[in-house]
Amino acid sequence: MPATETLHLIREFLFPGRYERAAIPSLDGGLAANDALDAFDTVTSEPVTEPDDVLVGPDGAVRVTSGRRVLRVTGGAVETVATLPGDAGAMAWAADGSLLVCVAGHGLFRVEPDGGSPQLVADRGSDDRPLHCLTAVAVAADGSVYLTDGSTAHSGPDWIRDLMERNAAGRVLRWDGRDRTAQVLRGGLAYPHGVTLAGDGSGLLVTEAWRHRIVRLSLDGASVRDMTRTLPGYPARITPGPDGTYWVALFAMRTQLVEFVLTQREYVAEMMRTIDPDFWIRPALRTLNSGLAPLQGGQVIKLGVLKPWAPPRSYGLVARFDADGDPIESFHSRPGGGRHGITGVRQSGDTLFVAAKGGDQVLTTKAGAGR
Amino acid sequence: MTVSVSARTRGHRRPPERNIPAAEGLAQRVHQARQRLSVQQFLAELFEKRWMEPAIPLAVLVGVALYFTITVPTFATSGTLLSTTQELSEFAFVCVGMAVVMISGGIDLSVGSMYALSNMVALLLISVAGVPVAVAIPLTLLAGAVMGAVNGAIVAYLKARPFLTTLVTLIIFRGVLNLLDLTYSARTAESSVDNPLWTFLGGGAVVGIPAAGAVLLVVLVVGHLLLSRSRFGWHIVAVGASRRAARHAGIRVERMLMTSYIVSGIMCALAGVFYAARLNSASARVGEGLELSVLTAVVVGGISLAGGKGTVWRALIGAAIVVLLGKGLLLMNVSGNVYQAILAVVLLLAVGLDVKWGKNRGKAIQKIYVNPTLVSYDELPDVRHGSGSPYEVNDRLRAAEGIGVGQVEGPEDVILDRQGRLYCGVRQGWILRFSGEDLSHREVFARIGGHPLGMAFDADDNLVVCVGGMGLYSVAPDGTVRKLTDETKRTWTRLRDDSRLRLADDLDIAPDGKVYFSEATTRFDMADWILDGVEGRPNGRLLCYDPATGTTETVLDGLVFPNGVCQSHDGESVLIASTWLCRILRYWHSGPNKGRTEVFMENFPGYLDNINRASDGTYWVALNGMRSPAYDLAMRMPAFRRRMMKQIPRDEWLYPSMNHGCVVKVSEQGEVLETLWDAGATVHATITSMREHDGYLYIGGLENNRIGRIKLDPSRRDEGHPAAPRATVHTG
Repeated sequence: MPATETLHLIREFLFPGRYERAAIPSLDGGLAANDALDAFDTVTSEPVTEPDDVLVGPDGAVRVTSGRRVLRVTGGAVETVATLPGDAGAMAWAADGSLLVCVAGHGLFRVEPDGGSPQLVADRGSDDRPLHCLTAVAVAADGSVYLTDGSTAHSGPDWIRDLMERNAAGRVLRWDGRDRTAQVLRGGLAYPHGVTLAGDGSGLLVTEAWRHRIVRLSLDGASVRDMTRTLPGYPARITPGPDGTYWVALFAMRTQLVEFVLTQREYVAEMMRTIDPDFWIRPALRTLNSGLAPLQGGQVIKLGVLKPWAPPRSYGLVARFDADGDPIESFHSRPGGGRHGITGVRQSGDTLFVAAKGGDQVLTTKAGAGR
Repeated sequence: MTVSVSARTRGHRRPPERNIPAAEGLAQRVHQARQRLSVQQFLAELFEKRWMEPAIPLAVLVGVALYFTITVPTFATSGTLLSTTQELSEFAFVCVGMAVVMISGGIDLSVGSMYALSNMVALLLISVAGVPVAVAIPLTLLAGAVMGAVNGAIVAYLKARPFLTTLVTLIIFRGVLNLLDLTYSARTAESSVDNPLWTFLGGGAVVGIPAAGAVLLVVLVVGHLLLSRSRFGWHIVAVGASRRAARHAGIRVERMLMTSYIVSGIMCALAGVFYAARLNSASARVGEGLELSVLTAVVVGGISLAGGKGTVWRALIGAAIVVLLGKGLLLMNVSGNVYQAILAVVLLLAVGLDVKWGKNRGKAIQKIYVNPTLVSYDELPDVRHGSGSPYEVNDRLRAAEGIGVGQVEGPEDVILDRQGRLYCGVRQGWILRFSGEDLSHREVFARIGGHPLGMAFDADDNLVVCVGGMGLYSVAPDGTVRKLTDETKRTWTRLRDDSRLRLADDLDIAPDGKVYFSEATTRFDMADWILDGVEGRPNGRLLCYDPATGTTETVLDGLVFPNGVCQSHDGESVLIASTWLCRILRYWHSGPNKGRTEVFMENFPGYLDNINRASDGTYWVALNGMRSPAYDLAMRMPAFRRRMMKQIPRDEWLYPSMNHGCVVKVSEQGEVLETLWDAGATVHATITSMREHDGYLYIGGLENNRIGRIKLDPSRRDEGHPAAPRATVHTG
């Protein structure tokens, strides 16, 4: 037994119950668990393969990124608008009306609203590192484009490696459209996965997935401060909601096992070396329902029932935060539900669109409905 | 097909249970042996023992004695020992008195004054009043009893705090003593007592032991019997442990408290008498500060300040420590002030330990009770769809029809009788019977308790059942329950008493009627099976109950979670499934190979549960869950599992993949013939048993709410897949 453990044991013996560890906040208040997400309508009748982001155009049609394609959904009919060289992720409308699409492993692409061949417009930062892991894009009123690059170590589909390595190699950048280089506003972020402009125009709101929080960043990136307290999950995209609030998609929940495993470096190294990533101890976008995936005690099916409180390997959660960073309301899909791995959320008028990457569905609901 | 080596010895030996496959190299063996030993487990089991509580003070005593014997040359001489014994005896009387008061939940600070006053009274009675010695001694004891009664009356009936009360009486008794001393000092000083009894008490010896020592022995034996074997003692302890509970139980608390203080007074008086006889000195300074030494002794001896705990022996041990310490320091020419300081420090340490140990002992044991060890598997067989492996995942069990859906909770094992009625044990402790058309009629066949697990019918159609938490039971066809056995012989090499059956798991009956059954673990209860899994140690055993003699014996010890037990088709051996090692052992109980153990099959892709004979000379094996790569890795890292266990709650622990079980058919030669999966865990999440009957296969599961039934296709007979090569096995 290592000396540190012996010390812990003695300390525990002398002062039981005072041994502190980082706590995962519980799901209460605005984040109280429900099954609302499972009751949402779907935009299409057929499943959409791994929708990553959802965006509503001026024409009222919904754009969805799915795999390498950008889809346009009009009244249930799906057509492919563009095909990109890598996995397509976040989208935003540029000031000139074209569509900006983040592509994993490549950079930022411009797609004409009606299709046509995509054009690479930004592929490296001012620090000369490539934009391989663009996770979000937001366009300011003055036309400047803000980007988050999750990690300089791994590209988009390999995000789980970035978590397991406990990296903080993400960047927030501004692209002014002049050339293919984006200016780095701030580096050293732990997987920034979403960016939006603060309602008062004073700065940026950036989600930092591996630090489980949303930070407020000044427009020049010089100052950073926490907007939310620690979140119970890993936040993905953040988009404006009504009345100065913000929608945040949380693509997975933290579990005590994962938090624990992250501290066990020897185990993580061996796991990453020898095991298929699908079967790692990790947060995931979807639950495989395979015996090869690790099982946790609370996940054992008892008398044919999977407990909804089971530690979630994957989970669906969309939450609305007020300007102070407090959660107001949330929609969940718990273990046993299928609409997991929410990466994108967007409100257009009074309609909410949700991209459930792990659930292969684009969901929608009218504001106020079912809440 | 099966590789094995000759059996060198017969009878009860370690089976080839290895946590590392084919650990042949010396380095590997050493590594494994190191993994098997666990200091923590030894400590946990040691500290669980009741006799460990006085063991620590005893060790301290031995240490102190050894230290002074070595460092102080004059310490271990017979003269010193004799005088030490005498002093110790006087001191120990007081300590016993104090111990009784403390066990009853109080404290007596006035012992020093009572002791000194008794000394004075004895001398006054004899030398001033001229009372005969034989009368003076009982009178002195009576005086002690009266002083104790004063304390007792104030504490018990006036409900004063013992601490303050005895502090006050300490001053009062001391005041009386000073008064007597002022008045009579001249007369006591010049007198000398000339009486054989008195001289004997002061310096005589019985078989080499000073008189005081002899009396002390008597007092200790009587005190021990009174405290531990009599109603009086139990009541004292009960009052000390919880006064309210004692009162509710009808114990006369006040009387008990009063008595304990009187005992303390008498003990002090006894010590005073011996002191008087030894020194004939009626000084007022006798016994000053004695309460500190006595308190130290008693607490060091392990008598809890909180009450309700302690024996006279502990008082003696504590007294001996303090007296030896004093004597040794005296011989080392350490000044009395330093001695007092050392005593105070010892008291402080002992009190601190008393509080912490008393409060946290159980928790500390719990913290170190589970000790994961290294379990290393061969490479996980690929079971994925399209892998071509004999274990390849399929959906064949999804078609199983449900019996008793929602009416059974946790049918670990299922069995059918001659009439085709279906029996299963459920977690309510019942055995249910399904009969009639489509087995739709459900009735409670027997109520045993515990959790009925493995089942088998004996030759007289009695249902023999392993009941988790209870033992081996038999249910007659009319439903009457009879206990067959619930214990075996204790393993004397173990600290823990493992004679009671904790988790009888599965059984099968040999042709000669002997019942071979497994006890999955001797260290954990059924609800804590996961702890045994996390530990991965050989905690289980194979037992044999002989109905002819009614005796139970341990056949194989040191098995890793032996689960299913199945009689081979030839009736000469049993197959034993080792759950956490994912292998099947074969043990020959008769025939030419009798006494031999070998590995039948190993490296299954899941955790083995029950085994049953199939109708065609093969065997059905249930896998209650799949091996996941992450769990395999964790099994190779015992420290990881221990930290996981300590740092996160059980619902968050990494478990074996219990949601995905399957049924495997294996041949007599150890080949995998076919596999039946419920791929998505749709209806049969865990599969712990299966039973073939009349062309159907019945499926039970520990966590399921149904029994499954699937029609077997007689034409289906997969090609035999050769099993993984087996390791050479050594017995003995």
